[in-house]
Amino acid sequence: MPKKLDPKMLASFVQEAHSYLPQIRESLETFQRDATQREVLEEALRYTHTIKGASVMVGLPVLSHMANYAEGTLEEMVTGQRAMDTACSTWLQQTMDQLEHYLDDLLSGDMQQQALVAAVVQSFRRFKNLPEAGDMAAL
Amino acid sequence: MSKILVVDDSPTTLKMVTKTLATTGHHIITAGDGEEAVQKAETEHPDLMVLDVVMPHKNGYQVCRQLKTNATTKNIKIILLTSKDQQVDRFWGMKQGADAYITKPFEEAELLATVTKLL
Repeated sequence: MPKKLDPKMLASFVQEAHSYLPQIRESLETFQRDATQREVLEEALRYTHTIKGASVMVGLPVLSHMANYAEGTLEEMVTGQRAMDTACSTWLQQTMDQLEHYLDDLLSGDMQQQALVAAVVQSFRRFKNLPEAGDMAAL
Repeated sequence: MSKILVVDDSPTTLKMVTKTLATTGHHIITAGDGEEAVQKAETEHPDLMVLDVVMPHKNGYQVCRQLKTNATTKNIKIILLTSKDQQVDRFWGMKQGADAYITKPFEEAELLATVTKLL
């Protein structure tokens, strides 16, 4: 955690990010049902990008990094490099749950950051078929 | 005193940039998406814009290109402020006519120095 977080900005960010998550989930479900609706995928990408950008602005680089994983995957889908299969959908929904968990922990002050980040990193690396070790040191 | 239009779809980021720029004494106005940005650029005639890239309706590249090719808005200085941090993003942003490109998280001093330089 950075040394100095502005509590007002942090509260503003948590409220903002919380408002995006249901919309991202709904967009993903819609796209999974109907892959011709590319605009909903682009919307999910935009909200995820906004969480990434705003979180690093308020001093939460780890959360930004977590959002960056999801953004990268959504970008691959938008550009047609990746299909929305079950594994992809499950991983994205799981990542949204973890982002929400992180936000809830921030509000409650009961931060289990390290365990949560470890879970996110491991699930991402598994999803991408990367070796399990890696990334944690950077985080 | 100059007028600065800050554009970002994130209310939190908008507040943070506005707070930073408020120290300059310039008049700050805001917009929450690309279309509102174009509309305010045309009606409010700001001297400078701090413009996000990934936004609903029109992205920052489209806004920048539109304003820089319009005779009435082409002289507005534009700083792209974005978390798109790849070289290709910067190249593309400057190609749209932006006067400066700053990545998030920005250093307050860098943003303030760039604003001072451009105004």
